Amino acid sequence: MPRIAAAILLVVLSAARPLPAGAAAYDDFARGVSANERADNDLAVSSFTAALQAGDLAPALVPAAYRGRGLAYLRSENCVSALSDLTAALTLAPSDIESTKLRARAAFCSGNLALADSDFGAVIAKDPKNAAAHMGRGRVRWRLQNFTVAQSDFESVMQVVPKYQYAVLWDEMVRLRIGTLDVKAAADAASQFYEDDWPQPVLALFGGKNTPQKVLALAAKGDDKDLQGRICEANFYVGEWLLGSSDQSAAKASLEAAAAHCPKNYIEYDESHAELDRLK
Amino acid sequence: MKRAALIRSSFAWAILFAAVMAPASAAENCALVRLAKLDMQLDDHGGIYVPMTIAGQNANLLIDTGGIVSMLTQSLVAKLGLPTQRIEGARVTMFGGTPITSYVTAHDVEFGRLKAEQLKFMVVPDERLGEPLNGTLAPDIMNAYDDEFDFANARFSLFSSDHCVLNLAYWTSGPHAEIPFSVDRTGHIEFEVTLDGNKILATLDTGSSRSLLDLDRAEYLYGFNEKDPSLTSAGDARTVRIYRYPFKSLTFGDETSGLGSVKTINPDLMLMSNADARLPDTKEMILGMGILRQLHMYFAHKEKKLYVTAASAH
Repeated sequence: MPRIAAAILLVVLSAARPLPAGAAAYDDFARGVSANERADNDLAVSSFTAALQAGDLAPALVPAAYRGRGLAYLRSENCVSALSDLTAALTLAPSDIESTKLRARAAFCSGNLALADSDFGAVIAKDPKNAAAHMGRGRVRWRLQNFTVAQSDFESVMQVVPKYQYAVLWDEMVRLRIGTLDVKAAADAASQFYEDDWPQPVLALFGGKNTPQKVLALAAKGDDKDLQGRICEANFYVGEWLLGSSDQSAAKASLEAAAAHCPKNYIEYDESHAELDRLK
Repeated sequence: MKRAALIRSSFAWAILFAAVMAPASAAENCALVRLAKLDMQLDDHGGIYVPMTIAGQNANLLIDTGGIVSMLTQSLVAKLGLPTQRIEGARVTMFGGTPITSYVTAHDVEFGRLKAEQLKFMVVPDERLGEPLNGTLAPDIMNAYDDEFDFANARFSLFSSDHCVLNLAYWTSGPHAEIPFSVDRTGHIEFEVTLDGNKILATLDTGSSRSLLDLDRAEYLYGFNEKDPSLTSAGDARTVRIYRYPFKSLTFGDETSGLGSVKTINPDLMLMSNADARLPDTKEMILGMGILRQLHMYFAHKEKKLYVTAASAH
C-alpha cells in the first residue's frame, strides 16, 4: 500500500508564549495518534517514545501511549517490542480490551502461543461474536496442532460472518487433518461462491471439484495487483491440502513455494514457514 | 469505520429525548459550576469515551457530538433487563444505513455528579460500536450543559450553563479564541473556521476519527479539480473518490480581529463529496478527532460561544 506522506501537525497560538509543562508530551502524544491513523509507523513510534520520555504526560494517557506505540511496532512487525509495550499498557490498564486484542496478535507473531491463546480468549469472553478474535485463536490453536478446538473457533467465525470464505477454508483444513472433512459438504460450500471470487478455487479443491494444478493456474490468471497474493495463497492452501491428503513431499514443495514468494504481510507467509519448521 | 453518526432523524424525536439529568446539588450563585468531571479514554479509532453508571452497571459511552440521541448497545440493554419500545413517528438511520428502531428507558443514571431517575436512550446494534463501548453520549444530553474537552489532561467536563463568567477559557491566562456557534435542528454544533483563507462552516463530530471536507465545495473554493496533481488519492481509487490536498492551515477564530486565534498547520482533511459520504448537502466540513484532539475547547451553550486554545495551553 503506498504510504501517504506524513503531514506534520502542529498547533500554534497566534501570540507566541513559552510552552507549559506537559505541552510537548501531549503534542507528541497527539502526533503519535494521528500518525497511527495514517499508518505512519516510524513517526508513531518516535512520537509516542518522545511523549513517554517527557515524563509529564497526563497519567490517564500513558496506557494509550504504550498501546499506540505497541500498535505501530506490531504493524512494523517488531513483535517483541510490541509485546513489551502492550504488556506495559495492560499493567497500567488491565481491563483495556483494545490492548488485549493487540497483545494477542503481538504474542502470536512473537511466538508466545500460550499468551496469544489466553489473550484472544479474554477478548472472546468479553465479546463472544468477535470474529477476528475467533479467527486469531483458531490460527493459534492450528499452530499448536490443537485441531479440534481450533475447529470450534473457525465455526464461530462462520456463524458470525457466514460468507467469509477464509473461515470456511480453515474449517475445512482442520477437518481434513482430523479426518472429518465431508467432501460433498465442502463442494456445496464452494458452490455458494463464483469461481472468479478468490479463494473459491481453493474451496473447490477441498470439495473435490478442482485439482492442485487448476488452483495454481486460476491463481496465476490476470496481472492485477493481487496476483502475487493469490499465487502465495494457492501454494499454501494446496500445500496444506496435500499434507492433509498424506502427500508430504508434494506438500513440502508447495509450502516452500509459498514461503519463498508470499508477501510478508500475508498470514500464509507465517503459516507456510511454521509448517515447514514442523516438517523438518 | 465511521461510527454512530446519525444522519437523518426528526426534530420531534430530538425534543422527545431532551435530557433531564440534574446536578446532585444545584449552584446558587453565578460562579462556574462543574457538574461532571470524567476521565476520557481513547478507543482504537481515536474516539473518546467516558464512564456512566446505569442501575449500578458501568458503561463506556463514546462522546459523539455528531450523533443526535444518546444510545446504548443491545447487549447492555439486555444485561440491564430493560424492555425496548418501538420508535414511532420518526425514522432514524445511522451513518452507513443501519436503521435504529427501538429505545429504552434507563433508570438510576449517574454521570459524574449528575443523576437522573430515568433517561431515554436509543438502542444500537453491538457491532456498530464494539468493545469497549456500550453506547454513545450525544447532543441530546450534552447540549443541555456547557461542555469542556481537555484532551491534554484526558478530561471531559460538563458545567452548568447558568453562570455569569465572561471568560470561559478559565484554564489559560494566555490568548484564546472565542467563536460564535450555532446548533442545527438535529443538535449539531456548527461554527466558522478558516481554511487557507476561505471561511468554511464546520460541524463538530467527536464520533468521527477523521475530518472531512466536501469535495465539491473544495473544488469551488480552491479552484482545483480531480485531475489536479496536488490531489492524492486517500483510498481505493477504483471504489471511492476520496482525496487529500496539501492545505496549509486551519484557523479557529478571526486572525484579524485582534482577539486570539488558534491555527493548526497542515490539517489532516479527507476530501469526499457529501453524496459519496452520504452526508447532507449542507455540511461543508466535518471536524473529527484528528484535528479536534489538538485543541482545548469549552462550548458555552447559553452564550452559543466556543472558547478554544491549543490542547496543551495552560
